Amino acid sequence: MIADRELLVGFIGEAREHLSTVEEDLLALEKNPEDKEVINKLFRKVHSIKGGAGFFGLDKMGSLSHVMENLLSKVRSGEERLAEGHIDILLGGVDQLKQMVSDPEKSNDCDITDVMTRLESIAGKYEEGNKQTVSAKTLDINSDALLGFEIEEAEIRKVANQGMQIYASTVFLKKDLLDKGKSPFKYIAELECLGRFVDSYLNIDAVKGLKNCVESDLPFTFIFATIMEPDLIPAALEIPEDQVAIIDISSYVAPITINGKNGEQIVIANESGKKQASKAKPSGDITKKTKPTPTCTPVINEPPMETAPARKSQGKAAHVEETLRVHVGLLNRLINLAGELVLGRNQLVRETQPLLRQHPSLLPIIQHIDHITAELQERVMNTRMQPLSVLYGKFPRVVRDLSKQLNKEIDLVMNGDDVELDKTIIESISDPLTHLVRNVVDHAIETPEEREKAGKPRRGTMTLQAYQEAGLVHIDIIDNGKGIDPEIIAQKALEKGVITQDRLDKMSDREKVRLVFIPGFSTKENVSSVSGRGVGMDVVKSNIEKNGGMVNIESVKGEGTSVHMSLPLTLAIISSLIVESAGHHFAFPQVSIEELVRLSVAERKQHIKNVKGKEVLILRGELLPIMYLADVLNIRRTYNDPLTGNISQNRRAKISDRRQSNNTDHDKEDSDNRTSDDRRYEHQEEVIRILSLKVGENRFGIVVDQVVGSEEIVVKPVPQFLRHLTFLAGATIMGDGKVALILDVPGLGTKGGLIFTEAEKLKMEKSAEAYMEQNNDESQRLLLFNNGGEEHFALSLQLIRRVDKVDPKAIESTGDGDYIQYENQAIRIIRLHDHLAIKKPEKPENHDHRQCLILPKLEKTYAGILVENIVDSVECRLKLLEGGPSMRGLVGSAIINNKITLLLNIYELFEMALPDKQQLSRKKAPNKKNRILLAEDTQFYRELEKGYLQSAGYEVTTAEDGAKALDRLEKERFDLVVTDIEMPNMDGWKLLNTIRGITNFSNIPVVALTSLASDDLKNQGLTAGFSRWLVKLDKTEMLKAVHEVLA
Amino acid sequence: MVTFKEEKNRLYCTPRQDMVASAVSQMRDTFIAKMEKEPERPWEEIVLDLSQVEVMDSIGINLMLGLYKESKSKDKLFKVIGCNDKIIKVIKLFKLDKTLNIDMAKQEEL
Amino acid sequence: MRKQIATFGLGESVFGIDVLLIKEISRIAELTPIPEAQDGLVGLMNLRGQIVTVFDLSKILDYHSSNDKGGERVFIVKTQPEIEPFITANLIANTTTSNDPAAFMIDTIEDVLEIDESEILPPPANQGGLDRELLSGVLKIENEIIPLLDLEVIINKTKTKSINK
Repeated sequence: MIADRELLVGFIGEAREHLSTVEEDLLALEKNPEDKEVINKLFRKVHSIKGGAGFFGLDKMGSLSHVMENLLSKVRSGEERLAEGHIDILLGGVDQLKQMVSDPEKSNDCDITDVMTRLESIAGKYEEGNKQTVSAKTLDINSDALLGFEIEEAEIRKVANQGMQIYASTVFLKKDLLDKGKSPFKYIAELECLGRFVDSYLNIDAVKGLKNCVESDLPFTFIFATIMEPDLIPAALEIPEDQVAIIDISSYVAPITINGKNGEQIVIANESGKKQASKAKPSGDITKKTKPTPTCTPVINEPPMETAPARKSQGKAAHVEETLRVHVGLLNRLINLAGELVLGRNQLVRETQPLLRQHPSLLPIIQHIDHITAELQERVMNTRMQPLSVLYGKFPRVVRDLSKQLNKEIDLVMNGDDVELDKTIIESISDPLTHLVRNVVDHAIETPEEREKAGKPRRGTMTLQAYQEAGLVHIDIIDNGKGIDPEIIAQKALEKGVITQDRLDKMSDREKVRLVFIPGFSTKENVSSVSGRGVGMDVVKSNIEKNGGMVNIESVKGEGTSVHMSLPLTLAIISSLIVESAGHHFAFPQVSIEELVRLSVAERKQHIKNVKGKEVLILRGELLPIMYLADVLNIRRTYNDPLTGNISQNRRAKISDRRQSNNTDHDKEDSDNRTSDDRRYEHQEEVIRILSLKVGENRFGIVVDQVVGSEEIVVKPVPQFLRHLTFLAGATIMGDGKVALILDVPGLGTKGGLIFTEAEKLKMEKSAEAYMEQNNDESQRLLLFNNGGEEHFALSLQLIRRVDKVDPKAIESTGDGDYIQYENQAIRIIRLHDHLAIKKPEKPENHDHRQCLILPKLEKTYAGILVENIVDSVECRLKLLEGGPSMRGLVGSAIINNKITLLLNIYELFEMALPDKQQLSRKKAPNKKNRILLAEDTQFYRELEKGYLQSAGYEVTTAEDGAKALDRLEKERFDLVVTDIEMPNMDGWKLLNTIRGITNFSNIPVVALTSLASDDLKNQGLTAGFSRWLVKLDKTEMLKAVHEVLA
Repeated sequence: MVTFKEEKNRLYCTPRQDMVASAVSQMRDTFIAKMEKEPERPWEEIVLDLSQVEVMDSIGINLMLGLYKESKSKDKLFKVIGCNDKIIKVIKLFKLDKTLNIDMAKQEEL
Repeated sequence: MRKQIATFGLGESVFGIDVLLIKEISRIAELTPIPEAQDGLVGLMNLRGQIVTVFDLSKILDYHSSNDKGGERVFIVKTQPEIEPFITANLIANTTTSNDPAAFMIDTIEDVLEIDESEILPPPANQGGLDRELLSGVLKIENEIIPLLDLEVIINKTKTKSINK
């Protein structure tokens, strides 16, 4: 028997909201049973569920909430004290209610006897008495006491039909509000959470003038509609009983006939209405309407009213947020439309670009549309964003119940519940996250006895922390439990046959721990009822990865475990890199791209090797298997264009074998078909472009023909006809209106026949190490360029996102600087000569040739460096010149290609160029226990390395030289010192010796991080006592080393 | 603290702090003192400018009403300007918006 | 009950489909081919912001026409949610299409025929080299026999059509 569908949906939504917080409240109450505010909140929520349930004929739900309400009411009045057992029973009731709410139509078939009996055992005996405590007096609606109010009859009818009551009450501003520390606004806002003001006024007769004004206590009289029952009203309104009266509106209440057949219709037959509310100021029309209507009046079309419980009452009514329930379907439609608008905007921008010169007045219009579209899209996307608190809400209960069941004592600390994620992602990580939380309680945290034995506090701690960084949301689940024993994992893996002894022998402890992610792996012998449920960490991993996220685990035996997840903020729009292969465009999600490697013919031989018949790319000491995208997708050889009937040629050749002479022919042939836009690529023809892609911890390279550019794309799901193609992640419509496929990187790897196991990766790394040792080639890749003057500049390629030629004529000057439209973004132009003491280009703004725009890899920075010429990219060992040119904005100088070359400090440069916009400060890193002291005299490296370490979750303190580092070391505790070697005042050698000489910190590991990379020095360093000798700027290597040293 | 400004035939009263119990009696005394000068002044309208007032508690409302009644008794027009949303909300529920001649503008143009 | 049948040419033959099953007929847009897709699936196209999967009808029907006019047009079949109201209203027989839009390449657009449902005859065992199960019936108009395609079967075929790579 379900009445109006929309109203019901509204009620169920609210009931869910209430129930999710009721649990929280009960847990809070358990900790602090005297908290009146919490009791009141609980009471109101349960009551509102009861009211709604009654209205919709959900009888079982009604009875259950009624009993719970009774119990709470006694607790509130002090008749009953909540013992621990009571909370359990109430939670049981909440569970039952949740179940009924999840399927309201069947709720009346639920067996609630058990729960009811238990609840009644504490509350039941008072059940009857409760009804008789109705305290408020009753007024007829026509009573003279209501004279002076304006009550619309339609209003009364609406109120009556929503199952509400109307009360007339008076509140004295001083006695009832001021003396209780409430302001009128606060009071009104609170009441609006409970119901609706029908009419109200303040009687100001008592104030005569300024002299007496402060003394009078003015009565605020109002008519209030609420679903609350009379016995609750005085408490809810916080006024004495004699200041409230119920208004009898029975003459307006229509009997409700529910047409239960299709459950969709509710009709109201009004048979009374004889009594007219003469005091209710009815106009003639209204009076007519009150006459009995013999026919049925369907009210299905009446929108659900924003009634009392529709407002979120969080107890902090200081500001009431206006909210409106909107169907998710509508939101999704809006999101799709906004996506279309973005595409349309992209097309518009592209198509009008050539017209701008003739019609400069178009520019502001297009920019306006551009901005509005961007903002609209962002706002619309935000409607889908939900705070993590939606997820977090259930964990206190989960942890409490489980730890009780297992006799464990666990404190749950949750941070970052305001971090927002797309609804879809929130939903998709709910299960994995719950699983992880249960895992911690079940497996990770020891019993209090075990903990005491191990010298730990009895209570274990689980920390859930979320934060946003680098366009991703990170969630850590950290516990201080027993940690994972890598040997046990290894043993299990061996028993299950997922790994061989041979491989295991070569694995580090850290890698062994990660074996838990291998499919089918579960460490607990018997899958307990508590966690597990047959789901292993592998499912957690695949669930997270399915949504473009990543998960990793670190554990220290005896100390605890930390699981780290990173997730995209939203799924619907992603930033992607568009590439071309065999004439087709494909999109790669930017998150899975590590970097873009561009190799010239000369570099090719050096960096691409054939290892056991497979081609690998040697990238900073790591070997990456590489494949041609066209080969993986089988498009070169067999692809048959259905429209033209042309069969593309197979030009497959091993990259390392490709000779320039082989290429010349088809390059020419290709370039003939190119549009002029593509001609700028011509000089790069001999270059190979490899995307370094990551799948979890593993990387591989994909060779593409062209890199078209990065673009924000709207992800559309793979059409059902293509679901069997696992290398597809989706499709999108590009700015030119064409459909492009979005590739799924793990799927692509699988399709290309790459199977990564930790062991294989290790093998790769080992051979890489061997290779590197043999070649002694620890170097930096630098981009060389000049500004048209004498100076030569260099910038580490690792810091560069893109380099492109731009037309200086497309640069627009605005009040606060010059901008250029690039990738649909206004990019702020930074010219080196504006910020560094260097010469201007000889022919400034030479209009005949194109300039180069260097876009750095900096988050949220829409600025690029405009230079005259890109000279080369070289790989060399970076050795800074001592006493060479140095100024703010530069890292220093070095001799490269026999020329003194200035190395840009992009962070400083951007700070100088965009003082207010550049935000280099990162969000606070998670409070992992490992604290690192970083001694580094160069600010650039200091910032960079600090960022690297922080991004891995360490707490980092910096010092400008060895002496300052020593100072900090004496004041605070650190787990590791990372130091530069060449520093003023006290260098790294001296720092190490001093540390080793002081007994207190003689066992703090010290890692050298230096640009001095010779083998002799390295050996010397390791002999001297450095734990590691690392070369600067290699993030992966550094983090790996730091982790190992700390483990 | 309250500042006053006379412009043509109007007296602008601008409380510079929240109109709450702790401040009201002093404000009232300031108002009384100012209004005592009324016979020598050509004021036709008293304007209460609440643009600096964030919060108004019960006593604050009493004071506002006191100023209103005082103005009435002296046959002056009365107007309230510069209310924030919260105050407007309360005034409306109290049905005082007509009485107090509420003006949403911060400072009206003459 | 009156029915409208859209007819179109494929090779030398004319086929018919209930108009109510067709969302629209459109000129084929630029196609994005799909590597390793099943036979007959020619690619994806953008139809006003919606991604439509395009099939070569003659391949799906295994009907190889000698007269290939190039297949410049496609008819786009209504998705399941789009036909649901018509089924509820009893305007078309219960049938299943797809959840994502599918389009079929045809050579020419012919007439829309107004017929009575009773004029639809069961398909003969072999109609011009076409498998009987692909047809929901035939129409006899004067001396011509127009086979009516059973879209449910055809759409199922697009999914199962061998992935012979």
